Amino acid sequence: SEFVMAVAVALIGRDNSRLYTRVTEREKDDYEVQMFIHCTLDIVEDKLSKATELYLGLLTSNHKYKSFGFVANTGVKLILVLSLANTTLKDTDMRAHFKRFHLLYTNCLSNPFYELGKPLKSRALDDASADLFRSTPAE
Amino acid sequence: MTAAGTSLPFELLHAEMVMYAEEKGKQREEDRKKLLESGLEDEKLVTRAFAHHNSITYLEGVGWRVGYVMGEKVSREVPRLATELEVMKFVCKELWNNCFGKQVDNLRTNHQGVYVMHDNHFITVAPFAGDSGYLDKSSSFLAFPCGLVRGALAALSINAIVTTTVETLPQVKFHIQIQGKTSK
Repeated sequence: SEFVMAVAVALIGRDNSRLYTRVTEREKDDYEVQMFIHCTLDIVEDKLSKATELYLGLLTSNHKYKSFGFVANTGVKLILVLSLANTTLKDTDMRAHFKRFHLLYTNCLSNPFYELGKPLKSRALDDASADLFRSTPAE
Repeated sequence: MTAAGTSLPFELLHAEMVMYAEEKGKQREEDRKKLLESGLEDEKLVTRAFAHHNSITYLEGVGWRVGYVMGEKVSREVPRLATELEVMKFVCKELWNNCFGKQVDNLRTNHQGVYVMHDNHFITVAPFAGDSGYLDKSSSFLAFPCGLVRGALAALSINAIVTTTVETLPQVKFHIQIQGKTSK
């Protein structure tokens, strides 16, 4: 059986506007994941006030998913949703993924044609998401 | 924008930007005069239509966008900036280094939302600082940097007014007046 690495990635602006969301094609019901991301955002606000670093770690989980968060100094939020069963992705992996997505976000900002606050359109982001969602066969 | 020594490309580009902005400003002024003289449009309307932009606001606006991106980029490299003072120190050190080739030489604050940053050798005015008589030109060369600082602060959720005062070039004082945090 296949082993799913990640379920969704979301980039959210400081004002909570959805800048970029990608859900793996494997998730037949996209709605559940979207609601889960929404719930996660509430937890982010809470954790942020006590946070000492940019990486927030595990935020919340339900019967299907768990989410991890990262908030940049500028307030832009990154959320990664994994399936609950996932055990291979460690904290160090999560940090690396967040760093990568944050870099891609700043690259989008550097595009002079990008309007601040608008949804992000980036092939690099799409490739990174596809990379993240790619399943690896169980060993 | 790199450390001093390889700052020439930025200095040259910035000087051209200022010249370009001033040319644009002159052209707009000519257009405004022509429109008024033609008598085709009501004077008040013309004044209002042309009131919005001049070379200074244009350069400041360009600086803002650049500063916003630099704020995002450079703040990646540092740990969480938890307080306003930490943000200001970040601006004085990491941001200034990345954008203006060196750190701010002196930071003062009244701890009530006013900060003054002294730069003894500011990059955009350094090229003509040696010769006297260019003091009045310096404001055009400080518009983009003011915008940059304001944009970077905006990226870091700080709404501020940034102005400069100059007594002897190339020393420049940046005055930052906090207006309260931007929406989160």
